[in-house]
Amino acid sequence: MLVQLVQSILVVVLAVTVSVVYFIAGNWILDRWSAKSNTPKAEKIRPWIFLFPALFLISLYLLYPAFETLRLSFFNNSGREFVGMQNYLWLFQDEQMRTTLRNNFLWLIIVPLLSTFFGLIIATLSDRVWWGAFAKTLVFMPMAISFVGASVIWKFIYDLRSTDADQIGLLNAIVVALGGEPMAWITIPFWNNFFLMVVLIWIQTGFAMVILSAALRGLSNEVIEASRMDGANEFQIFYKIMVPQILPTIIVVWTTITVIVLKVFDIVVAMTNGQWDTGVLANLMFDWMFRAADFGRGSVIALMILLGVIPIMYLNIKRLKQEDEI
Amino acid sequence: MSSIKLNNLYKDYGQTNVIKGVDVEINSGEFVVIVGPSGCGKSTLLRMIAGLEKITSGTIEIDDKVVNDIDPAKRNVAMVFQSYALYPHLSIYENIAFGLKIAKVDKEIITQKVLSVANTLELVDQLNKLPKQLSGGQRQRVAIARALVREPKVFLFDEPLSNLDAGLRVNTRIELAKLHQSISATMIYVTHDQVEALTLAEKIVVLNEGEIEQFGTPMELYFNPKNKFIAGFIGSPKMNFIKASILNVNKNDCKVMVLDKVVDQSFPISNVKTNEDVTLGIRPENLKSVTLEQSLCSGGVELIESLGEYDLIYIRIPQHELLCMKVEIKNEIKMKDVIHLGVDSENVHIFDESSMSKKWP
Amino acid sequence: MMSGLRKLYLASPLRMLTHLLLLFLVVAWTVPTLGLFISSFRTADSIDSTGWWTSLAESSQNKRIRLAEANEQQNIGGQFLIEGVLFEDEKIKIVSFGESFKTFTDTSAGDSLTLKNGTELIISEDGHYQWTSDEVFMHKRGKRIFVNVLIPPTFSLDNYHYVLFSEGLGKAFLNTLTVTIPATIIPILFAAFASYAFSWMQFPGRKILFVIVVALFVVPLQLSLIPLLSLYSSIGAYLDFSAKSYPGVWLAHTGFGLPLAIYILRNYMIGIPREIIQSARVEGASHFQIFVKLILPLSLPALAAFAIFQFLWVWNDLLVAMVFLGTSSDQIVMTTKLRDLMGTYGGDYEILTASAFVSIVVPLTVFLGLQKYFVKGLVSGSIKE
Repeated sequence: MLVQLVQSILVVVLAVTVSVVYFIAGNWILDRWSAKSNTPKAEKIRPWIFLFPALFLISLYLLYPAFETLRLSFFNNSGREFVGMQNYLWLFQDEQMRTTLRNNFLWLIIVPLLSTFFGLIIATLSDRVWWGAFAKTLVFMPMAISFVGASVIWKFIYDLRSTDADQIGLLNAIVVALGGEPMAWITIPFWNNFFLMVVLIWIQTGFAMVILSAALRGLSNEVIEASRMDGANEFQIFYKIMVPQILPTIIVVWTTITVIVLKVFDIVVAMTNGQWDTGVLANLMFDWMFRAADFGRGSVIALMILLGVIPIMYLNIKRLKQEDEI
Repeated sequence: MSSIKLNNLYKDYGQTNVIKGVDVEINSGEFVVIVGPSGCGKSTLLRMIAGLEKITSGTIEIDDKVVNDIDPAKRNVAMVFQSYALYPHLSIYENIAFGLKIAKVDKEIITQKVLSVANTLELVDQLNKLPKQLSGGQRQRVAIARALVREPKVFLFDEPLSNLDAGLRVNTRIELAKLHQSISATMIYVTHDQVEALTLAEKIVVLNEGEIEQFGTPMELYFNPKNKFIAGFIGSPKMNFIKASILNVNKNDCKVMVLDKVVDQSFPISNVKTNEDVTLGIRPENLKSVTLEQSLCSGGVELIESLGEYDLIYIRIPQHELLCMKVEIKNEIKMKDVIHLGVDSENVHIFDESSMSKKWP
Repeated sequence: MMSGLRKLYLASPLRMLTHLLLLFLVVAWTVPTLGLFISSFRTADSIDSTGWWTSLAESSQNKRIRLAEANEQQNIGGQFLIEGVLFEDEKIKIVSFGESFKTFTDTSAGDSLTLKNGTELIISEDGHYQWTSDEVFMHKRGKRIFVNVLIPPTFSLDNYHYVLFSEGLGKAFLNTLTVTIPATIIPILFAAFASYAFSWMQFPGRKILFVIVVALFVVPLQLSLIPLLSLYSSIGAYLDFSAKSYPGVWLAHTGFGLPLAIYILRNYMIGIPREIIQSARVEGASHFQIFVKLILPLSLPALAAFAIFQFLWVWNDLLVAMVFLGTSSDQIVMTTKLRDLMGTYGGDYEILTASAFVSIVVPLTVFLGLQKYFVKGLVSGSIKE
């Protein structure tokens, strides 16, 4: 068994050596060449030596497939026969697709909203108590847990036992203790979406909290003190002075979580596998691609996900351009 | 030691022209200060000499060799940056030795050179420390040591003293002057502080909006400014400017009118026309309190700054900025006194009102 | 700096509310993981019968158990007696017992109960029982009775032992390491060089290329799956090599991770004072020397941040592993394994909790140990300082 691990370490050593040799040799040859010809031409080539491995892999793994997927979306299930807009038409007529789109829409609104909301609350509160750092570590911790691991954790919480036995799922135990009826939460259509979203909110709140906490700490203390001198109370300071100032950061957090939501796959696949009307685009795409082996429809769904991130892409680029101009 | 020649140098960033045709000749071993208001392009000019900025057109020659396309690494220049630019993760020793190691100098020679330079700049005890453990003045000395150790042809300084506090700045300035005397290397020094320029430089380049206003020795610039800009820029407190118009021109002199008052004094200038507007430039130390009849103009005292050695009296006259007069401390001037200001004719600079260039002396 | 604000704040009546509200939120965020953690040490029986939150106290459980068979009876003066102990474990205390599920709470331990067939049963608290009858016991299988017992909390590593060695999670753990280590280090290497070029070298198209890279890091990797899988299959077929292989996964993670890596590293590198790099250039250093001697050591915090980020992402990834790796025991990673277990052992939480904990223990350790760098990386990636 350990052989395998040794192999992977060898691969690392090999990869590192090969790249280092590549860079050293590339630079050495350029240095020789520029010393001989004494022109600044070598300096025009050098950046590309630095860039090539990364750009090549990015092109191969992200850029080329994006265009290929676009092409495949006009082809049939095997990817050989041109079918025009047929896959797109299917997309808008399919019943299951409608449910999926609705679910995705709910995820896109609710998860970023609540993660950012709780993140902001916890960031604000924890900056004001002596055990704030500890509190933040605990809330941040789920970030390290895989979506599948988190799904096990939450499935356990939603667990249902027969009414005459003790409930071992925390949620049902609470419901019973409060005099309610235990339920199979993740099988109740429509509402079960929200129980799945809780898992992602639970994970992403820590992320929102850390970023927002850093932004809040970056605020000028004097401005806050000045507003206090002007008679603002704690709540007014929070939503009139602090929140407006960190609004750009809130937007960054929001969009980052939105991107994660669009790609969410693991939670649904592990919790319900898309049953009971909980499917989202990423799962549907996976199903069409690997269960039905329909490349055309799989590609169309993948493009739908891309459609969702395009506004965010645009925002990111705009932000980058602003930064660069400063 | 090398000479440097800048020929018709231009630098554009897109549409903005930063350097517009600069010609300077710097002799070997000279200490030249480039001075000018912020944004005038002085740092850009220095960085072009270092090779850190591309040249749009024109040439830079070091020792009569055009270096336009030569990498900064190969120009054999050393630069001291405003922020010192010490390598934060390397010890002081490593910082000073960096360039020599890059040049693959023999290890023993490196040690020897670093120690010798560290000795000169009193850094021997700091060699094992990291930059962040040093005070501002010490860091600044490390930056100089790093330049010194490479024994370059040319030293470039980019506002090296601006991050130091006032006392340290004066000390380091003296150190730098001494250093130049002892190694007599060519040094080019950029600053916005004209006191630094006047005290350090053998020659000063005054740069304004990418063009050279004047190139000369400190005394030339002080006593014989080419135009109103130089006159106002060099000297502290700065020169007073008073608007005047020419009354009647004689063969060798003329009379002027200031603020509708005919001045009962002849000025030895004749290349003017009657009714022409001019600006009189008078340094604060040349203004004096006189009788109404002898005066150029009169005004109330608005502020008195006592600097111990002398007082600066600020006087308000209509349609002008506050005028400044430098007087000995034993004076009886009080706030709100009305002062009649006069000047000896030979101490007046006369500038053309429209072109700002000097008409006299 | 905070002290002025703090003092004012301490005087405010909101202080208590702040503590309480934060405490509530922190508990809500921590309890789910705690439940998993505690349950993973409990026995299947106790997980099934009581909530994990009761596990620190004695748990009251209802059990069915058979009394001894007829051949163990003794004849004592015309009375027939069967004696025995209900539970081997001495720590288990009997609370009450009965003949059926409905009546087992009626008779307390130590009392005697007349069964339906007229025999008498006494069970003492420690589990010893005496079953007496006037007639000969004729039954073949021991009589089934119901007891309510108190079981003291017991914790063991049995679940871990089982999942690691019998369920194959141990192998999956190694597979995950095999995927993760190269997939973390290779992208760092490539990204560091590219980021240097993007921050400090001049070349035509620098801006637009960087914009493309930044745009790509939000592109869903779902978009890449189908074309890449076809590509892998054809290359695999050509080289007579399985399309699902470790090198394939390493490169896939590298490709997908590079845009973020370049973004984080470039953001950091561009913050290194320009004068330091120019100073090195004036001192004669080449780009390569500047990169190795200045940029790499100075960028260590960002490199560490991305390393942690990528490590967590690869370790926790399910999708890429499902697509580019097989499910045989020499390739399956922990996330895939865990998901399979969820399908196979839907409600067997002794297996699921222990497996889940095995899968999170490494990232959790990395995360808690290097949290500072991770936070720094996240922040520098999101907020331009």
